[in-house]
Amino acid sequence: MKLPARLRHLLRTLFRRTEVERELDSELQFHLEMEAAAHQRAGLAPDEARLAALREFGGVPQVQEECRDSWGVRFVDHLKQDLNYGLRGLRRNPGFAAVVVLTLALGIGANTAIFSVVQGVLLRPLPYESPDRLVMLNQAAPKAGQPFLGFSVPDFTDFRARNRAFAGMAEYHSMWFILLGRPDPERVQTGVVSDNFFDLLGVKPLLGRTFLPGEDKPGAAAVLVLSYEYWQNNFGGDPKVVGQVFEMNNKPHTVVGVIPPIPAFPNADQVYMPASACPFRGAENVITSRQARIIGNVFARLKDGVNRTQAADDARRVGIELCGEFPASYPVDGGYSVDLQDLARAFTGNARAPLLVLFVTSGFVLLIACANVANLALARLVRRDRELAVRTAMGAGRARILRQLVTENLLLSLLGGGLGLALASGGLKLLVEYAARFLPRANEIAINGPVLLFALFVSIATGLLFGSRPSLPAGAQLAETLKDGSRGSGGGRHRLRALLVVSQVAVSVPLLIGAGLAARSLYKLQQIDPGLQTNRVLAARLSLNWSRYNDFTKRYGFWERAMNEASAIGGVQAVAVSGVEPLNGLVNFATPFRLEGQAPVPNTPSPSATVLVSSEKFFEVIGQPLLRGRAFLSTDAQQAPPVAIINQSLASRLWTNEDPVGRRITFDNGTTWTTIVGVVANTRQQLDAEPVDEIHVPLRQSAGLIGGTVLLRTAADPIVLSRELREAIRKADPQQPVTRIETLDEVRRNNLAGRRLIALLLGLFAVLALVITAAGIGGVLAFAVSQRTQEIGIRMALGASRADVLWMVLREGLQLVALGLALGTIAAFFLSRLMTSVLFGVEPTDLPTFVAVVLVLLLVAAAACLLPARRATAVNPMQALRAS
Amino acid sequence: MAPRPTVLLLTSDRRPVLLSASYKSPMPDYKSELLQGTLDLLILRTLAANDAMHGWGIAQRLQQVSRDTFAVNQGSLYPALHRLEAQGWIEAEWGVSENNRQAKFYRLTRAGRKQLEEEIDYWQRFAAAVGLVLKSD
Repeated sequence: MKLPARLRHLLRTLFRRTEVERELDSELQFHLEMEAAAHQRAGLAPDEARLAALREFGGVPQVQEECRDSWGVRFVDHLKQDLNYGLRGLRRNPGFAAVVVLTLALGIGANTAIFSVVQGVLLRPLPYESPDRLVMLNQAAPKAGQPFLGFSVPDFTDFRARNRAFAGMAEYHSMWFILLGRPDPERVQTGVVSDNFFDLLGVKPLLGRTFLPGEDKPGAAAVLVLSYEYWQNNFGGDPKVVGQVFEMNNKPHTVVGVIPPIPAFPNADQVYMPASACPFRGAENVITSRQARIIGNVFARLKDGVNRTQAADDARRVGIELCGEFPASYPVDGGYSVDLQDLARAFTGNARAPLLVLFVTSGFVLLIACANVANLALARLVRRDRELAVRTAMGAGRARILRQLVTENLLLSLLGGGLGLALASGGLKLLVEYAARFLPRANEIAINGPVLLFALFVSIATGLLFGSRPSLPAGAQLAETLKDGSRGSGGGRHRLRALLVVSQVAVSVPLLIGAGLAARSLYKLQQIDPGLQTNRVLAARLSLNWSRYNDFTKRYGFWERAMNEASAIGGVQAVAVSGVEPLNGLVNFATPFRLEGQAPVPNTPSPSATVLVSSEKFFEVIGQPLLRGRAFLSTDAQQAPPVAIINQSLASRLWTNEDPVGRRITFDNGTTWTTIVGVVANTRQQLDAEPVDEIHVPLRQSAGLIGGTVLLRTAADPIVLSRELREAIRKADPQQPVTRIETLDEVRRNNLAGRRLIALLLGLFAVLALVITAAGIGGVLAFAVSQRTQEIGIRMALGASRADVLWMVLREGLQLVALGLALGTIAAFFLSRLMTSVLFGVEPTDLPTFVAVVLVLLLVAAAACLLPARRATAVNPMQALRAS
Repeated sequence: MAPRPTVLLLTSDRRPVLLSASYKSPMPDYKSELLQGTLDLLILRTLAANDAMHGWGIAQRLQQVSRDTFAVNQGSLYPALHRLEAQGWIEAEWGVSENNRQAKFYRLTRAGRKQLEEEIDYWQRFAAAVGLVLKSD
């Protein structure tokens, strides 16, 4: 295919330049020869003929230049020239180049790293079909302390049938089960879903199929869909896995398909099964009970043409209908409500605010870095005054010189950007590893196309920004500059540099305050009393095999054996078992009950609380104080009268002025009565949330735990006993895998891992900003001193002492800093409000933090000013006066 | 082609005269721009009438046909030729000249032919308009 002539010419000129130049030469030579020949024919001598030809032709080099102009590739020539020149200049000033590139690399790298997180987590659309049409439904009773009620099977069925706004709805909850048929029994996290779950999201199977309509009805065949990660990790990506049968919950399950990687939300499920296959979900009483809210999440897809507000209204309408028809099941006076949340928002909810804070902060760091680099570039420009004056005098236009300077700046900033990108990708790996625990979609964070574009854009913008105001010599100044011994025009430039320093300091202030506030929030959270003693407690989480431990005796037998074996370990003071791992941040579903002496009121729901199963020594082991009554005893056995211990929160809610000890409640509407024997202090499951109402029942009187935590209180450091604990559990049951062992201190630390990361990153940026700003202040002052050496020499000769000179320089520096501090503090006052959602227990205008930041900055600035000031005092007046 | 400036020098017998080309100077020169425009037209016209010509041949022809009115400074021909080539209106090929030398021959492209027609049309209208203005009192 023959390219259009224009394009061909252009390409040839760009890539075969030497040939084209040679051709031009030959062409002009040919013309001159022909013309000379014509003159010869007219009678002139050969050399005269040639001269005549040349005369008529005009200047050959000028014609050649004009031809080159006409080719239209001048800009490439200029670019090559500028780049060459710029690189030579940088090689002559390697220190300058290194500092600039490094500073920019740090700024651009920080921005790029944070942007990739923002891009992966917040900006990228979810890997589902039309993800903006997907929402999550939620029932809540916030006044009863339950922001997430969950859905029961009748709830879900009714919402599905009665709504008018949704094209489809799917249920989801996650449990773990034991999978048999592999070399070892495996505990698998299982997503229990309706048959249309994957269709609703638009997830197509990688192998095999997903669920068929009707597969979630009772009596359907039990099938399994594997997640991509589970398939890769446990089956090595073997395609023959489809069709294999495994036993779970006493039933054979056939693997029918594998899905591609999807975000681990709401849980990182390893396999998926339809609702009918889950023994809890499929139980008769669960299917019919409106109050057994076992379904954790409901996904829905909006119908075409329906927007979120309309859908939310419709969902609320259904909720109101159900409240009217089944008042006993919906806690209206608990503020029952139904709401909708955009799926993407639900994924990333908690991460949004902190990520944005980090992003803005990294932007500040980049601005500060740019100011520094601009300062350096201006300083260098002063030294190049002579050179630029010469070029102007020789005919270079302003545009040409500016283009040269801009090319050099872009060269530096692109180099800085490249290095920054490398730094970012290295740092990103660490960041993602650490953040994966609490950041949703962490596995989608990567240096991809948009991130590269961002880095490129920031690099170019930075280059243009910091090179944007070089002041070139012109006119009368030109002649001055060309003369020997001139110093170049310092005045206007110095003002500009001073302005840059002021802005650096001003931008640093909000940054430092942000870091300070985050650090204080973290500190406050760490000080929070969770209501238990987390030191010297070791916790081992276990999940028992359903099919082997299929009655109370077997289950209780295991826990008893485990506790006995654990007690025998040297250094263990007390052992307990609990259904819930303390401080895990999980809140169980609320169970309703009735108080003795209160007749059930037909149209109001009953009080409810979270029910926890605990062994006798539980409160002793985790150090939860007993406020009234007694703890559980071994006499509270299976056949003995049922007892319970409640927490202070529930006690003050239901028995405000009386002693709850001795009162009775019933969970089954009067068939059996449970006596309250004690009240314990509140604990928090989540450090930044309020305590929840809790009722503890003894292990002996429960149905036996199928999943629980063995807790040890130790005399010394608990972690050294983890091997012994594992051994003890193995003795209780050799086939029992331990899910994890950790100390409660670790659990508590992990609770705060997210906040710690934010405080860490903000602190890092703050330090960077301080370093860069200090360097900036020092640089400007040093330069000012070097320009004023003569003046200082004169002053000293006239009698100024060293101290006077020191103070003179210091004062100049501190004036700039003070101005910057004032501006920055005002800005911080308004900006820190934006951080409110990220803070805990600290006001955005927290006075101690502001004061501390101002002091730190003053100190750092003073230190930065000191070095140039001291240099100034070392000026030898005689030498200074002699130098011109 | 470049937009045309409206300056034209007329001889006493009402025929337009082109001045010698001046080399590129920092200030825009109306006369050189005018020359640029008309030179392009003349080159295209010359090539339209002949199949392939080299630079010197075009210069000779221009002198001939215009009866020496257009004594173009020969050096200014080549930037024009190169510009036309860059714009795709003429294409070039190296060949052997009448005296056995290697020379660069130019010929009109199809796009060039079309451009020529448009330009001729413009010039005729332009000349007629100027004529009308000059005739009126």
